[in-house]
Amino acid sequence: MYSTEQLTQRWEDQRAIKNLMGKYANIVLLNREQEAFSRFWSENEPTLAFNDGVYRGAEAVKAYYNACRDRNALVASLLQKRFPDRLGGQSSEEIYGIGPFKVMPMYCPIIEIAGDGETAKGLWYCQGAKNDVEACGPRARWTLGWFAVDFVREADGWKIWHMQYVNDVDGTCGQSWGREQTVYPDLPEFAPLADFAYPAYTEAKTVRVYYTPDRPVTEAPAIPQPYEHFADTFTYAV
Amino acid sequence: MFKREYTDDELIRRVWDVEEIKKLVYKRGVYIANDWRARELDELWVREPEHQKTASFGKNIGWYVGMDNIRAWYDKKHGAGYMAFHPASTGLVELAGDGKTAKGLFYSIANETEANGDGTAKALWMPEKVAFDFIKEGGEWKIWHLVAAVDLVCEAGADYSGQDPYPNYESDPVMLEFGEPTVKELIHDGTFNWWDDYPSMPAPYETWSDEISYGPEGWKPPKGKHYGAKEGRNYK
Repeated sequence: MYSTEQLTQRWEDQRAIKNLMGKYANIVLLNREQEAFSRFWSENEPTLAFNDGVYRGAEAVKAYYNACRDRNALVASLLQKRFPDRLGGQSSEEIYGIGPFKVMPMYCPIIEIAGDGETAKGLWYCQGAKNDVEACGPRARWTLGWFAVDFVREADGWKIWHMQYVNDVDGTCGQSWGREQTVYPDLPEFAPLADFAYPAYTEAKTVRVYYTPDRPVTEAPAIPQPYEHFADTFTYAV
Repeated sequence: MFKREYTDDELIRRVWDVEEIKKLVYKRGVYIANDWRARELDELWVREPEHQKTASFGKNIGWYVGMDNIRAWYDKKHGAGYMAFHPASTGLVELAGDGKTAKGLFYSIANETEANGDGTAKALWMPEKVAFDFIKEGGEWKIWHLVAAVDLVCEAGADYSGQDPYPNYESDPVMLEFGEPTVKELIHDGTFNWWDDYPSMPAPYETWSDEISYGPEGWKPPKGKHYGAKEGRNYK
């Protein structure tokens, strides 16, 4: 049974972890993903997994976020060319961030802090909106998915250690995910986006299958359970 | 109202009670996503026999009362093509002064999808207000009464402003799935938005009484004049 002081500390730890994920979502919203690794991540063998692969290690995770920055810059430059009257004459720094609007609201946090207080686990549902410019032009997507995260306490606070951001739905807004999606043709002014590629995964693998009408019932990432030490529980590392 | 004085230790334990109650609600969301309906009833709902007798699960057209009746309706498995989540947001939790029970109210922009059998699926949005009564059993919080009052049901990608303004619960897929509850009562009619104010916001309270239950024992006919006018399609 925890003492009054221990319970207070554990509540503060839980609040810090919720705030950390809130800050992460805000950095993505601000199109400043390149700051995410240095601000929020542990350098101790981190993993970042998406539906179709995983980045392992600090360099690979950092490279992914830097690629987000590069893509944001490419989108802005293409928009500048497309709208010279409004954006012409501005520097790349001034127009950086125009275009992508990626909202990741974090719902339903299920957080467990280890009994030893050194690590924690959290599961969130994310009913998001991923509005971005693609080769077909501006496209609004709605997303339904999960953040499943292991955290580790370091000298300067809680850090993300292993993260899965996996979606069930990532489709065009306004179109049912239960029906065939309308595919829009590429537009020449945004064609360079078709050639943009994120760094290759450390390992390309199916982490979560997107929803289709014939997909078997697919359980969410595992619910965190109370645990004493990290070795006693499962990991979200892929 | 009697106002308790709490020690620091009692206060932090009450803070954690509210955290554990919210976590229980959030876990229920994952259980729905995982199609763990039987596990939800077994693991998250009341277990003590006297509480099981009075447990209830309500939707707009009434309540199932008693765990056996709830189970008979709710305990089923879905097949391929099923996907659902009811993200509970805007949590409002009132913990009784005596710490033995609690009440909660959440709003959920819920989604449920099921296969049509022809290679497509019916993907539905179903925004709803969800109210709970919780009770502590052996140190663990459990769901005792639940009411999910659905505002509207709309296929993903459809314009819900184009819907018939008078919902029809005889053809509404959520109410059809709800079947024939133990206690039939029109407790929330989307025709009138929230004039019926049910389930209403929990208020601070000291100790439990059936008067404040989200089960049928606590329901009172709303005072709005629409109720007495018996307007809309859903009055029988």
